[in-house]
Parts: sequence; structure tokens; C-alpha cells
Amino acid sequence: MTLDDVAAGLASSDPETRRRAAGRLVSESGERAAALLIQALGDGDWRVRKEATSVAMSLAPSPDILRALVETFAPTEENVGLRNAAVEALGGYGAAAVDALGVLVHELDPDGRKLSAEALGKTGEAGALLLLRTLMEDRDPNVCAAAVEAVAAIGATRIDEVAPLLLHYLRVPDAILRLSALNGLNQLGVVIRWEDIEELLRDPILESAALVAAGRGADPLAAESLVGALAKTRHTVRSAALRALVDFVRGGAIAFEAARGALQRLPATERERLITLADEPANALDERRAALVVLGALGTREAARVAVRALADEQVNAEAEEAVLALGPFALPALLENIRRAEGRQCAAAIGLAAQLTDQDTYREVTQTVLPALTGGSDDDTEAALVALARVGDRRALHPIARLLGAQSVRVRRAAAEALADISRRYPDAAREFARSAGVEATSALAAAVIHGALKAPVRGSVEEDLAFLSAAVSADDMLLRRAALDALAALDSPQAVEVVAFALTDEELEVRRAAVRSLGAMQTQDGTPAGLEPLFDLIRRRPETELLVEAITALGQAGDPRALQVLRPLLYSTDAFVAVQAVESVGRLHDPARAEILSEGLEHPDPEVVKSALQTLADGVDPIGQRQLARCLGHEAWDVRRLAADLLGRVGGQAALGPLRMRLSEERDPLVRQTIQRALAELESADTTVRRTTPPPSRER
Amino acid sequence: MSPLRPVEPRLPLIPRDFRLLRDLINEQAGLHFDDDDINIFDRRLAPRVLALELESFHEYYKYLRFNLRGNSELDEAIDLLTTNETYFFRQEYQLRAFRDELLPRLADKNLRKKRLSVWSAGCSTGEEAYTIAMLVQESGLFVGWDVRIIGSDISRRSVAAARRGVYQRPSFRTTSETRQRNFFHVEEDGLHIVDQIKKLCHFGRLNLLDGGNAAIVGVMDVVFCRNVLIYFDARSRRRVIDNLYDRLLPGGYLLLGHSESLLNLSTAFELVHLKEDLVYRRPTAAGSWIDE
Repeated sequence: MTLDDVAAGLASSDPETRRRAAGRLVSESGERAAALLIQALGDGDWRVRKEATSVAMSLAPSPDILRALVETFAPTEENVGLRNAAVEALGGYGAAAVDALGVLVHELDPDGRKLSAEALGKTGEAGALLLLRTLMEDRDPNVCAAAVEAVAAIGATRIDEVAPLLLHYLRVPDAILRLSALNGLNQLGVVIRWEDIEELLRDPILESAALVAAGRGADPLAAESLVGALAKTRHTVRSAALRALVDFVRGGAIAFEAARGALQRLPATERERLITLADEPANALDERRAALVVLGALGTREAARVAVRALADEQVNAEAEEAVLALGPFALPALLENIRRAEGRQCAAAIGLAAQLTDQDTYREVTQTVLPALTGGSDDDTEAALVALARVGDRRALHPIARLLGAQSVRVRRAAAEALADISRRYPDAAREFARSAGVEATSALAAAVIHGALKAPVRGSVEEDLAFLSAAVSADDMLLRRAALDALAALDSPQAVEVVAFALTDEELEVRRAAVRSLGAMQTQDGTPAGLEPLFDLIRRRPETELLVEAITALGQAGDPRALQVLRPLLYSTDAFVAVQAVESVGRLHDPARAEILSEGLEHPDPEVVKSALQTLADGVDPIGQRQLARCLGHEAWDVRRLAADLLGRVGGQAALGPLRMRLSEERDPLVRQTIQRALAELESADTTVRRTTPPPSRER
Repeated sequence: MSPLRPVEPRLPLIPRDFRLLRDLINEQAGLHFDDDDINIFDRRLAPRVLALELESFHEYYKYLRFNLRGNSELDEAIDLLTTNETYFFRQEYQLRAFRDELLPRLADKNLRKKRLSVWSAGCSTGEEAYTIAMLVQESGLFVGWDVRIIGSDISRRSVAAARRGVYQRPSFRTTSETRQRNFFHVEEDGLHIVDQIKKLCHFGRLNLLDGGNAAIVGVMDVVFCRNVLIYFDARSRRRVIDNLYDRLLPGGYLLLGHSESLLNLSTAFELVHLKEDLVYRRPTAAGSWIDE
């Protein structure tokens, strides 16, 4: 399609034809194309304007287009749709738009200056601040308000400069300006002094935003006002107070206690309303979630009952869990009651939480309550009970847990082994006695092998006796027993133990061979020298199946011996990305001066997974080679490599990373990578800030 | 020694492994998760890491990437990450608009062919699809018509649950007693959808990003795609909307969730103002861009 065709399309009476014609401009350039694009941006139909805006933002910012866009802010232009589209398009042009607006902004009328401020805010460019500062002092209040909002929009990268500016605007007479500044500070997470917030709370226009600020600030003096606002007549204020209280109770132990005190002084009817809000599934989900979190600070048995009940509802169970943990001892009776009644999914959650809340005074009762849940319930309940007993269980639990080591469910078996090992470490005498009573053919042999793995040798009187038992177990019929015995052998310092484990590399079951490899990697002599390396080197030279090879590479990394470097280095070039990734990770674990240089070779691998692994491993080190390589990968062809490089530079790159990140941002087109670069820049640029900020807590559900 | 082990996470998900997993899910399914969604991954995927006898989330990531069974495990992970509880008659104001304004229009429009097709795209465990069927039935406008309600979801587990049609208490948070009596029968394992509603609904597993696959559902009078777009990144959202557009008959309606809009996504639809809601419509022909 030629530009004449586009022009004809844009002249059509059919909006869809005009929209399609505007879309064609994406592959055009030059003055005429710019003029047509401006024509499309000013189209009477919003769909055509939207299409044109999208085209404008995907094009490189040519001087023709920039000039034409800025000129739409002139007083002679009356097309509102065109002006709004120009704001969007200029916002997408970043630094180039800032320069273009800087030339013209002071010649524009108030409307034009206001639009300029909006466009500057949308650029996200720190360079726009200078211009915006002048617009904040504009004689027209609408221009000032737009400039304040724009400053907040780009403030994250210049927090030291922006926060005082916005704080200053909290004291100006105009309430709208104050609200813009307050919203901006909330958006940037800047902590505002309680004395300042208290004053803002008196203004109905600012009240909700001020409550948000008070919640984030978590000053204990704010507790009464926040809790008091729960009883206000306006729903918007009550709702803002509830959400603010969520931030407040999450703001640390002092704020939490202050909230608890204030909630206890709340009239009974209001407390009841809070409990009902948290309890009733028909209530708005976000309010119910917030109410549950606040219940955690209420500290009553009724609050505990509601929170425990809510564990069964997947939509609010994360907040219910948070409330139960915050309620602490208040919640334990309700949890134990729930476990006794064994109500499905709720039961597993209750078991886990009860274990976390158990202390020296209650562990016997909790163990007694949880033990029956090992049998008869779902696998989830059994697993939860095992995990709980791993923390609170005593010697009474050894036998019931041992019976579950051969369970059908992998998760149950694994939890049983972990629980048995944990209890054995807390009650070693009882565990040794149990292990000594087991013969290799007995059903309890598996438990004995697990106990051998958990306790220091000797378990049976002497290292030789331990070795004899475990050697026999490695030859047993039961695959689980062979595997557990190999895990236990890893802790024995004995050349015979190495021989037994090395022979297990011939086992017919892959899982057993993998256990043998792991064990060889972990074996050490008394002075800490790796004892199982030679069989591992042999195995790698013989090139076994991938899974075993990868396990062996992992084991070499865990052994941490620099001799492994020569075996691992060629594997970095493996065409099997799984093997190469594992080699990269294992090289990363070795303490060798050549480590960073060898890892850099991984960046040349054709598979992006290997490159990502090398990048991550280099970032974990502190060497300057690694830092340079991170910056180089900003230009990698795979988007996920570029995103990872940007992310890592934001975390470890320091001020030296600012240049490469800014340069990449000007070229990057992938929205996810751009977002990551912008966040990395914000992190680096505000790294030395003295401004106190809060960050939003991780979300639980959407 | 203390009788208690210190409280510590059994299987911690560290941010670097979360970022790897998040990008993999994005790459494979277009699903978008923020940095602060780490807890969702932790809570929902930890049981899989344990079940596969893996030592860490990092091992799980490598399993998904490199193991021969990685692809089917990825389906399982997507299942777990996207399954959210929903309930019957959710966002009732929109459903009223559907029943009172859209269904009468469609009854007029399709009078000759006597056929009505509605797609619940991203139907989770089926509550929305069955709700639509109940509303169609309640309207009394389509007796003797060929009514097809299609429910699709990316989660195998959700589709299986939808097909089963057995629900528990949380699914009825906004369902009146009368509707519970009319459309369900009580059994030991929960409330079962009655057959006359069940037979109107057909369920299948579909990735909304996959236009070719989506074509299997045929052409639709109405598409419900509520609270689904939030899971996709901007790029993928556009593709999903394009696919939904292709599935709609000219004049067909698209209903999004209350917090969702096509702003910045598509200019192909026209906006229709109903009494209680705004919905989107595929234009009947070029030139009919007039809001009602």
C-alpha cells in the first residue's frame, strides 16, 4: 500500500477503513507519513485515534512526528481527541519527547501546558523533572495539579528529589494540589510523618488518602485514628481504613500491638461488624480478606474461631492463615478442636498452623492431637501431620511414623523420612534403640537406615557395625531401603563405605544409582577431603544416561573440589542443554580463580537456558568479569536472557550498570524487558536514598 | 535440647527460582505473574516438587525444562497456578443485563434458525457456564431451540470438575434457595447440577492463546471471558481478544469482568451501553460504529 492509498483510506467515511489505513503507517516514514499520522491522530473516531497512537508509539521518534505532536498542544488546535492521542504518543517517546516539549512548553496556553505536563509524566524520564518543577509553580492551578501528578508518576527514579517536593505540596492551601501530592506519595511509598497525616485527616477530601498514608507509615500513634475510622458512616472511609489497617498491622510488632490495643477499645458493635465482615462468604472478597488480616490483631477467641473456619475457603485462606498466626495462642484451642473433628482440607491447614504455634508448654497436647491424623485421613492430612510432628513430635511418634516410610504416596513417604530424622536428632537415645532393634530383613530396617542417616555414627556400637548393617541394606530387595542405606553411608568415613557405594552404581534401579552418586559426592574423610571423587570421574568419562550424568555433575559441584574443574569444563559445551546447565552450576560452586572466565564461556552457548544459568551464576559471584558480562547480555537475542540480565544488573550492577541499562531502554521493544529495565534503573537510582519508603507486601491471590 | 524444631519453611522458594518459573509459564502459556506473586507459586507448586522427589524449586524448574515428562508436568503446574474458586451467579448485575437485555435481543435475532451459542471462555470449574444455562432456562425464550453452552479452561482439573457438576458450599455464596432447589439435587458428596441444565453445557480444555484450537468451539452469539485477561500479559491479551473476536458472529457480544476493558487492547469491538452494564459487540458490518 502506498502513501496515496493510506491518504485515500484516511479520507474514507467508514471508520474501520480509516482505522486500517492508520495501521498501515507503521511501515512508513518521512514528512508526508508524519502528516498523515497526525491526521489520523485527530480523527473523529476514537478507534482510529487509538490505532494511530499505537502506530506512533511503535515508530522511532522522528523530528517530523515530534514537532507535529507537540504542535497539537498549541492554542489553535481544538481537536480534543487529537491532543489526548498526542499525550499518549509523546509519553511513549521518552527522552526525545522531553527535549521536544522543553522547546515549546512555555509558549503554550494553560491547556497546552497541562497536556505537556501529562505527557512529561508519561515519559517516565527523570530528565523531565526540571521542566515539571517549573510547571508546578505555574500560575494556573490546573497546570500545577497536572505537574504534581506527573512528578509522582516518574518519582521512583529520583526519590530524593521528588519526595521533598511532594511533601512541600502537602502544605499548600489548594486541597486538590494537596490530594495530588498525597496520592503521589502513597504511590511512591514515601513514609509521611504522623503529625502531618493527622492534619490531613481532618479534611474530608483528603481523608481516605491520608488513612492510606497512616497505614503505610505504621506509626503507633496512628492506631486510634485508623481503628476509629472503621466506625465512620461513609463506606468509602470505612473501607479505606480497613485496607490501611492491613498495612498497619503488617508494619511491625509495635504497630501491631498498638492496633490490638485500639481494637480492644472499639465499641462491641463495631468489633462484631468486623468479625461478621471476615466471616461471611457473601461479603466483597477484598474487604473480607482485609477484615481477616485485621482480625489477627483483635486477639479474641471469637476472632480465632472465624479465622480457623476461613481456612477452608480457598479464596481467603492465605489471609486466614495470616490471622491465625497473628492470633498465636488465642488460636491454638480452635485449631486443635478443628483437628479433632478432622474436616478435610481445613484439617491439614490447621495441623500445620498448630505445629507452628506450639511452644514448650503445649507440645505434648499438640502431639497427642496430631498423632491420630497419621492414619485414616487423606494423604494431605497425613503429610501435614508428619510435617507437624517433625517439629513438635516426641519419642512416642517414632514407631507410628516409621510405619509410613513405605506409604504409597511419595509425599507421605518423604515427609515420614524427614519427620523420623528430625525426631531422631531430638531424641537420639530412643532413636538408636529403635535402630539397633531392627534387622536388615525386618520391616523396621528402612526406619533404621533413615535413623543412621540422621545421627552421627556409630548408631550400633561401632562404625564397623554400622557399616555392616548398611552394606547389607544396600543389597536388600527393597529399593527404598537400598536408597536410604546409601544416603546413610554418605556420613561414614571409611574406604570400605566408598567401595560399597561405588558398587551401587551398578544397581538396576536408576533411583538407587542416583542415590549412590549423591552419596559419593557427599563422602568426606575426617579432614574434610572429598572421598568419592574418583568413582564419579570414572562415571562421567563413561557417559551414562543423562539423568545420572547430571546427578554426577551436581555431586561434583557439591563436593567443591577444584580438581573437578577439568572434568566439568568440557561439559559446558554439551549440546544437551540440561547437561551444560548443570555443568555451569557446578563450576559456579567451585572456588577457583578461573571460575568467572570459564563461566563466561557458558554465555556463548546457543541455548538460552545455558546462557541464563551462566548469567545467574556470574551474578552470584563478586568478580568484575561477571558484571561486564551481565551488561553484554542486555543485547542477547532471547527476551528472557535480556530480562534476566536487566534484573540482575538492577540487583548487583551498582552505579556502573546505569549507563548500559539506560542505553538498552532506548532500544528495547519487548514490554516485559522494558518493565524490568525500568525497575532496575529505579532500584539503582534510589539505592542511596535517605527517604523512608514502604513496599507493598507480596500478594496471596489475585 | 529443645523438644521443638525451629519453625522454618520446608521448601523455600527463593526469588531467583521464582523468576525462572514465572518466565517459563509466561513463555509457554502467555500467563502473566508479577514479582509479588511468589507466594502463589510457593503454595501451589510445592506439593509437586515434593511429589516428584525433587530437592528444590530450582530442580523443579530444570525438570520442567529438560525432563521428558516436563511438558505434562508443565500442564500440571499451569493447572495449579490458574485454578481459582468461583461461584454461581457471580457479578450478578452483569448477569441481569445478559438475561434481561441480551437474551431478548438474541431471541429476536436468531428466531429463524432457533439456535443460541454461548461460550464461557476460562470457565474454571464450570459455575459460570452452568449459571448461563440457568439464566437461559429461566428466560423461557428458548424453549425448543438448539442451545449450546460451551465451557473451556486451560486447566484439565477444572474441566474435569466442570463436567462432573458437583459443588460445595462456597460455590453458592450468591445463589438463592429457590435456584438451589430448582437447579440442583442434594447428594452425599455435594449439590449436583440437574440433568436439564447439564445437558445444555459442554466442556473442553482450550488455551485461549491458541486461535486454531479455539476454532473448535465454532461461532458464538455471546462470549463470557470474565476475570481471565488478568492472567495474561499485554501481548497475549491482544491475541486472546483477537481469537475471541474471530469466534463471535457479527453482532455477537463479549462480556468481560468488571475490572477489565479492551482499552489499549483492541479497537475492533464496539461498546454497547446496557442499563446496568457496558458490553462489547463485534460490529455487524463495516460502518455500524454507533453506540447504543
